[in-house]
Formats: sequence, structure tokens, C-alpha cells
Amino acid sequence: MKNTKKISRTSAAVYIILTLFFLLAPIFFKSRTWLNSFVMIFVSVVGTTSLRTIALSGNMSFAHSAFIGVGAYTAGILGKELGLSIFLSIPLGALAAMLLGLITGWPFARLRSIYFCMGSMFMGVAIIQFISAMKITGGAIGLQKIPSMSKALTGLFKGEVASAFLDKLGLGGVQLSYYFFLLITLLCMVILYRFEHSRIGWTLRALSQSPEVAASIGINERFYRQMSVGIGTFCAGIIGATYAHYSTTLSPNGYSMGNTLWLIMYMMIGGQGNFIGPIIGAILLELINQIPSLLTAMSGRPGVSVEFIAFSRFVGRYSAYTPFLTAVALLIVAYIFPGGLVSIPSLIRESSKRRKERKAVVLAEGGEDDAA
Amino acid sequence: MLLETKNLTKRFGGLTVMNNINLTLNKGEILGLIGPNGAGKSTFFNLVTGVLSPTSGKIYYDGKDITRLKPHRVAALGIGRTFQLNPLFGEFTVFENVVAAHHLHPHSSVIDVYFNTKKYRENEKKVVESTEHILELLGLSHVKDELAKNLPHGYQKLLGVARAVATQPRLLLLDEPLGGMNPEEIIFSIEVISKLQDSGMTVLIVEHNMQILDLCDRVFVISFGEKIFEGTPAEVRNDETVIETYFGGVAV
Repeated sequence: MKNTKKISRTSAAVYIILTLFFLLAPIFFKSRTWLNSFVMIFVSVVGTTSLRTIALSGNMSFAHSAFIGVGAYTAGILGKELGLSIFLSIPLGALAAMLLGLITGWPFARLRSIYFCMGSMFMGVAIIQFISAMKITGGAIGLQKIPSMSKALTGLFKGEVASAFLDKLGLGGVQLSYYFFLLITLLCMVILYRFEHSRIGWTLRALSQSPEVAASIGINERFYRQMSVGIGTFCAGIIGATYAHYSTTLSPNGYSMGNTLWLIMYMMIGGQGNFIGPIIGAILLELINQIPSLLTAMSGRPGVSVEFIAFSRFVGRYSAYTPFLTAVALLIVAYIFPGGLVSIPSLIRESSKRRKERKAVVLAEGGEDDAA
Repeated sequence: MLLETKNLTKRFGGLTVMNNINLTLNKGEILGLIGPNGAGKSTFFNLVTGVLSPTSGKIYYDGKDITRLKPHRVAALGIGRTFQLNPLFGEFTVFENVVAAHHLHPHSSVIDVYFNTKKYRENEKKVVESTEHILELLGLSHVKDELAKNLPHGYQKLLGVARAVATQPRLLLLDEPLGGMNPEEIIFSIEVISKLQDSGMTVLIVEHNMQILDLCDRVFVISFGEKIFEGTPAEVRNDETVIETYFGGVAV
């Protein structure tokens, strides 16, 4: 049975390596620019994985970034206007996104394929337009002066002993925020992983293959679709809310439909078939997206060679071609590895197995010829 | 009486596909629902299982009004069904198809499932046992690890029945269970259906293949949405209206 099948050794290794890498990253990447890029990766990873959770039932939501935005704006406004602590505003942001997801998901639960796509797409656009039109959100300019997470987190370690301890470990506000972000990301991953690998994820897969058969064996389509929407938008909301307190400024552009399209792209290139696919896709492609800003930041440092600055300018100028290159990457994936980037190891394994078999056949035939 | 329809009528636009059908089904019997193509047999199934709602009329199951109930609620009440075109969970193996069909029984709450509680694990053990038993009954044990979409047609039909049986129904609706089967498979399927009756299930069969008549306790014949005959299989064979409309005027 799929739901009780043990996790493969390769993917377990990848999960451990990734977690260790991001745990140790602040030791090797001390600059804020790098940590900012990693945080953007976390947002993309959670966004993509939670989007895939919704897509498990066979429907692709085009409003997902908008729900990340709802979480972000709710937490930001609650923190700024009511002065709530981040430990309240972040869960409330997540709940707000989930609530909106469930309310809008109710009528959508009966829609399939293109109807669901178009419906969710316009829902997402509408949400962002509401955010841009409202006063409390800062409108099109954006929300500013959101209470910063780093202050709230360093505030937890009051007293000389605690702050001396932090200094010893080399943990400033930035590093603390990074680790908090990582914690929320891992939490989301555990929630979503368990969801998919329990019988619930399995039921959703059944639903995506044939809704009519699913109904005939007693599966309540609306209930299960709503469950995946609820858990998906909750994770989207919580990562958005965390980001709001990390960056302290929000702009509605960051949550437009274009961003959802990126998430879908990450998912398709990484591989939609299993849990690890969108994680790999999001990490690799978001890292590529971050290269121009990383290079710009690096070339601002003292003692950088002229060639490096020229190179970073060159990359910066051509970063407008990223969407084009990503589309090319998608084509390559679709033609060569239809299972996504994560299917490469198993493809290699299979092809080497086939080669061995062919060799064995050739040898056997050769043997027969000799006998004849 | 397990199932009863009262003046069941269904119209699609101006077309009446089911007109005032009063059908009763007694506990434990096998009723054959036969009629030429387009007679409204599959429509009848879809009305009973809630896939379609009737234009007028009522459907009672075990004395309870189930008209306009959603399909998953109908399944939960103990009505299992197969489909004529036989859709499957094609990407699941045969075994997984039947495991998935244990959605209702034994019941595990979503919380139990998510947190993998002791109750859920015990239930899963029961599911595996029951799945193996059902596959054995339907002669599918030797293909249990094949993907459902790769099975030959006859096996796919049997898998449809296995899936319906896994919902532990009291009433089983079989939509052309013998369609496209070879003679051996037909004999085997008829055996299986009579075994299911022996285990206490009530069965309603829609079928073209007249070999099914031997299995039925009663036969209900419809044509263009109207009932034209009801009686025993022997009577059907001798009834002139039935012979005229269904067998094209040649007695069998």
C-alpha cells in the first residue's frame, strides 16, 4: 500500500542533507543578503508544496499567492495596528488565510479542470485588488512599518546571561529570524508530508482519478477537497505571515497571479508526482532567481575586482530573461524527464539496468550462435 | 422490501427517459433489469444512487426516502454499484483499488488517520484482511499488484464488482457486469454473483446478456422508459410483448 510504504533511502537522504544545510547555513553565509535569499527560498518551498497539496485532488489553484498575501497582510496589520505579538499575529494570519480559503473553496469544490482554474484565478486577482484598494493595507504603495520579527525574538532573550549566550553563539537578530523562519518552514513540511502520506492524501488521489467512482464508494468530494484547501491555505498563510514580520514591508505586487504561476512552474519542473519534487524545484529555481540580487550585493563589497562588477551588471541586465529560460527548462523537463527533475535518479537507474539486460541478451544470443 | 420506487420519472428537456416506474426489490433476491439500448436502465441506476435527481417520483431504501440524496450518502447507506463504462482508479494497483473502497468500513475518523492512532492501525489490518478476502472471492489475487489500467477488460469488470463489494453493501447494483467478457469469465461471474446473494446481498442487475436470466429470481423489463413486463425468467421468455420489443420477434 502506498500510504504505508517506507520513504525511499534517496529522498530521506535529501531531506536530511537539505535540513542540515539550512541549519548550518548562517555559519557560512554571514551576510544578510544570503539569508534574505534563503528566506525567499523558504517562502517558495512552502508555497509550492502547499499548492501541490491542493492540486492532489486534481485541481490547480491559481489563487495561491493571494492566500500567502492574505496571511502576510493579516499578520502585518494585526501587528502594526493592534500591536499584537508575532506569536499571535502569525497564527492569526494563517487562520485568516485558511478561513478565506475554506469560504471561497466551498462553492469551488464542485468545479473541475478549467472551471476551477479560471475561478481561482479571478478569485486571486480579486483578493489582490481588494488589498490594493483598501486604506488599512497601505493600498498600492504597500504596508510599511510592520513590527520586526528580529526585535521580538531578541526580546525573548532578556537579561545578561541570555544575551551573553547569544553573543557566544554569534546569533544576532537576523540569525534568530532566519532560524524562526526555518522552524516554521519545517513545521509546514511535516504537516503537509503527514497529510499526503496518510490515507487522506490517498483518498484525494483517488478523487482526482475518478470523482464518480470515489462518490460511489462513499467519499465525500466536497469534504476532502475542502480539507486539502484548508491545510494548503493554512500553510500558505503562515509562511506569508512569517514573511511579513521578517521583511517589515509588504507590497500587493508580491502576491499577484504572476507569483502563483512561478510556484506552479517550480512544481512542474521539480516534479509533481511526489512530495520532494516541488521542494527541489523551488529551491533550485528560486536560487536562480536570486542570483542577480546576490551578485549585486557581493559586488558592493570593498575589494571586489572590476571584472566581477562587470559580470554582475551583465547578469543583472539579462535577468529579465529568467522567465524565458524557465520556460525552456520546462520544455526540456517535459521532453526528457516527464517526471520532473526528481525523476532523474530513477531514470538513470532504469537505463543502466536496461543496458545491463541488453548486454546479457547479446551475450546469450552470441552463445547460441556459437552452439549452432 | 429493500428498494422501492414510486412513479419515478426523469425527463431530459422534452425527452422522457423514465416514465412512472414502480419497481420493488425484496430483501435477498436478484432482480434483472433488462431492456433494449436506450431503455433507461443506466438512468435508473443513476437515479437510485443520486448521480441524477428525478423529475418527479420517490425512491425508498429500507423504508427511508433517499430521493435526491448525494451519491456518497447513498453509498454510506449500503448501496454499492458498478458502472457500465467501468471507470477505475487506473493509477492504483488492483489491491489499492479495493483498499480505497474500504473508505466507509471499517470507519476511521480523519483525526485517527492523520495521527496514525492505534485504532486506525487496527482498522488498516482489517482492511488488508478484507481486501485479500474479496480479491480471493473475485479471482483477482494473482493480479493484485498490477496497475488497474493495465488489466484485461474482463478483470477490470470484476475489479469494479470487488470495489462495490468492499463498501459492504446490502444492495448491490451491477451495470452490465458481463459486458465484453469471454464465455469462461461469464460463467465465473455468474457463480460469483450467486455467491454474493448467498452471503445475504440483494442484487439488481442491468444486463444485455440473456445468460443472466437463469440467475434472476424476477425480471423487470423496460423499453423507452416504460415498464413493459414484470415476472419470472420463464414468463419473460414466453411473453409476446417482450419478445416483440426486445428479442426482435424471435423467441429464445
